[in-house]
Amino acid sequence: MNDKKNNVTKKAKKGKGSKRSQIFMLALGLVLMVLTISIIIYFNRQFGVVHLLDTQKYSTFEKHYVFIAEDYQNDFWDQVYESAREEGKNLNVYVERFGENLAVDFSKEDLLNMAISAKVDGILLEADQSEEMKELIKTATEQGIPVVTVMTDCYGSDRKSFIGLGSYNLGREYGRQIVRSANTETEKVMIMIDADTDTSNQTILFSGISETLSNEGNHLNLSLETKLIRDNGNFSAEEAIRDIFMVTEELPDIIICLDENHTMSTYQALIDYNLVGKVSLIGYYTSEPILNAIDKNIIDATIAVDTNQIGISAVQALDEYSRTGHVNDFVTLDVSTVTKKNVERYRQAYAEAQE
Amino acid sequence: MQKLRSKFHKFRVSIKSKLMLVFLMTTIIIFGVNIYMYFNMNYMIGRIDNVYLSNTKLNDLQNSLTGIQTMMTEYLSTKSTDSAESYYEYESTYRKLLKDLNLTSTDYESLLMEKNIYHISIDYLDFAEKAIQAKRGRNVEKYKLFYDEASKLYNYVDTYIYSLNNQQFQNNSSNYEILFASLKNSEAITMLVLLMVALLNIVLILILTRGITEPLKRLSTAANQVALGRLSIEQLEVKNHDEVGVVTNAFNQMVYSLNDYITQIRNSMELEREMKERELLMESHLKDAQLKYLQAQINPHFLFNTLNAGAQLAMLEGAEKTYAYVQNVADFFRYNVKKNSGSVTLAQEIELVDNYIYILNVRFSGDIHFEKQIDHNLTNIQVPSMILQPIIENAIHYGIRGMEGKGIIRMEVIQEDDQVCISIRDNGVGMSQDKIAEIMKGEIKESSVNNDSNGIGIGNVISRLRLFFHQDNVMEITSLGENMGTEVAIFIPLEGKEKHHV
Repeated sequence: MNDKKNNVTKKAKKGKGSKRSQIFMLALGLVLMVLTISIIIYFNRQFGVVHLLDTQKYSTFEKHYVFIAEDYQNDFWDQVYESAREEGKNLNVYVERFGENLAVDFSKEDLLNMAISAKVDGILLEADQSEEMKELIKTATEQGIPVVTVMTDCYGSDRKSFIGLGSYNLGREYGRQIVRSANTETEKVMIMIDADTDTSNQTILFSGISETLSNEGNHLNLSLETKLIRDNGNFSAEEAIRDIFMVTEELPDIIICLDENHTMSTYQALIDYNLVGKVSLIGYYTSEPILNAIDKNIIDATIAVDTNQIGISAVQALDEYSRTGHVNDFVTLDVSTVTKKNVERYRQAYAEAQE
Repeated sequence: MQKLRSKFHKFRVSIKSKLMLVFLMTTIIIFGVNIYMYFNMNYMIGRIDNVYLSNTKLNDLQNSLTGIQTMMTEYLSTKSTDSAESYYEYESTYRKLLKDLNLTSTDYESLLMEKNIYHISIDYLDFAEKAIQAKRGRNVEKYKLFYDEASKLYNYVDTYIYSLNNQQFQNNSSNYEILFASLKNSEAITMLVLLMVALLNIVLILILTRGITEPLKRLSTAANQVALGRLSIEQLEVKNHDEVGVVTNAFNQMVYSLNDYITQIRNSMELEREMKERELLMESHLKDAQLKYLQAQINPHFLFNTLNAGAQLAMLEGAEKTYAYVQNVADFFRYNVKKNSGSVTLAQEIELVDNYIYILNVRFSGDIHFEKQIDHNLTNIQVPSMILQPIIENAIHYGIRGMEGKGIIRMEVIQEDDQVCISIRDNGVGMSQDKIAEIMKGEIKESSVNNDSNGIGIGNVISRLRLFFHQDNVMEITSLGENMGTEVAIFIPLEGKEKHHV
């Protein structure tokens, strides 16, 4: 009887043990299966990367515009191009920054030539007043490629539209800022002019400034002076600006810069020659270093141009022309002045744009 | 679920198919994983092989372009037919290669560059062709102009192709690095996966074969138990309806049958025993009933009272003999009634015999001569009642009644070794050996007993003595022959004689 009882419990124990080991086996199997599957999934992911190499994701567009500007290492043009590209996507157009990927730095004229040969659907051009450019715009128009000039125009060419600030407006904006910066002791105002830009434009700008000064600044005794900055090769503009501080005995009280690079060079020179506070600088464009300099009172003011608006307007003008066959000859852009008072707003906007 | 499961269990799957299933499953898993890995690796190696394919194509393109430019220049300066031929060869190759280029406007820079290359190339080829035609037509002014234009475009295209090639090379190099790293990774992963799958397969085989071996193990354990004679084991559960399941079922059936058979045998034995017992009981009950019947025939108290009244009457009339007689008769019957069952002392038995002899002597006018030689030390032993009187009665009836002359009955009570011997001897007609044997075997039926008797035969006396003293040898009847008398000897064990109270 006892023996039997023993036997039964033994059996029960054995049964329990085998059941437990079976559960263990099943669990082990399950774990192994999950592990294997996850490894295979991981493996697949690896292949996913490889497959991705194969099929670069890109979208196609109906039209292909090119964007040609002098200087690609420039924050201003970067932003103009970005906004043009974004706007282009909305209009089913891809805007290419022409020549950016090439191993050789071609001149604007060469790039224009190439763009014409490449039979693009439209050209956005930072033009100049040269005859060659006029000729090339003519060739482009003959081949059915519309050209829209941006910021600087090419008068008398076949360009379809010009997107710019309007030199007179710009001149008035500079004039007002001069009046604000000047006091009774201020005498000499120097305007730095890029020797390559077209003269008629500068004449208009200049008259805008002087008219404003004579109207609103007639209480001041100011003399306007222009300084031609020649950019023959790389870095020559910067050297020319430095020369002003080195050679000229009588420094100007106010310096007006009409482009971003000149502004930055002058700003650096002011610091280097310890002239901050002695010479007021009215700059152009709102890059981050310029805004910071305004905040630190190194630069008095700068002219803010809405780069977004430039890019968008340029692409829209081209699109409008190719759709309807005509477009406004001249699209004026808004201009505003950034001073210490409102610099914070621009800095914030800049920070947001960076994000 | 349960239903489905039971259904599945009912479905008979042989061990062979189970094993086949196990092998097939593991083989398929290994095979599948291997094939998957193999194809992936192959794809990857293929990709690595083709990583620089785009560069090769661009190089071809550039070579053809250079060829065209060189041959054009050569033709323009030498006007040789060879260079013209070469020029056209290069040109057709170049045009063929151009067909592979992308022509749509996309935001993928490389493709966009292809588009530009294509269009500028077409322009270039146009001018090159024009220059050659002009040279043929000896139009010196024109061919120089076209040549200049073509050269400018050549410069553009060349730069473009070179730039694209560079860009692609950078791109491809990084791709190559990624691919190579991936390949290295894949090798490790493949090994790992194969290892895991092998482990998984082992576990799978263990799980699946357990379903086959486990029931076998249980069956063998149970069989061992049965072999050791433990038939009361539990029924084995049949989980799988394979061959082992069939054997297990048969084993269960066998154990059940064995148990059933044993129970049947036990039951029939029990039944037989019970029947025997009942038979015996019936017999004793019958006897009992017979006795009760006899006893019920007379109301003993009435008889005794009547006899007492007779005795008193005789005393009043001064009839001494009558009084003694009636008193004796009364004593005799009282004893008879009172001590019919149970034990009495030997002295009481002897007293009854005295009474009986007295009554008979009155009836038969003193014919019976009764002699006693009694060891009075032995008269206290307990004996069953009514053992001496039937023997005396027998001796009178069959011994001395039929003889001529004086009948003598002699009773002796003596001690022989550890036994008490009560001997009753008559000098009557004697008894044949056959008769003696019959009496000893108890074969004389009660019915044949004379109506005149007390109703208790010698057979009954022997049985009761045997039962009372638990021994067989209780009586011996000896007769030497015709007219030589008979001796009946009763042997009673002396030891424990006082204790035989029932």
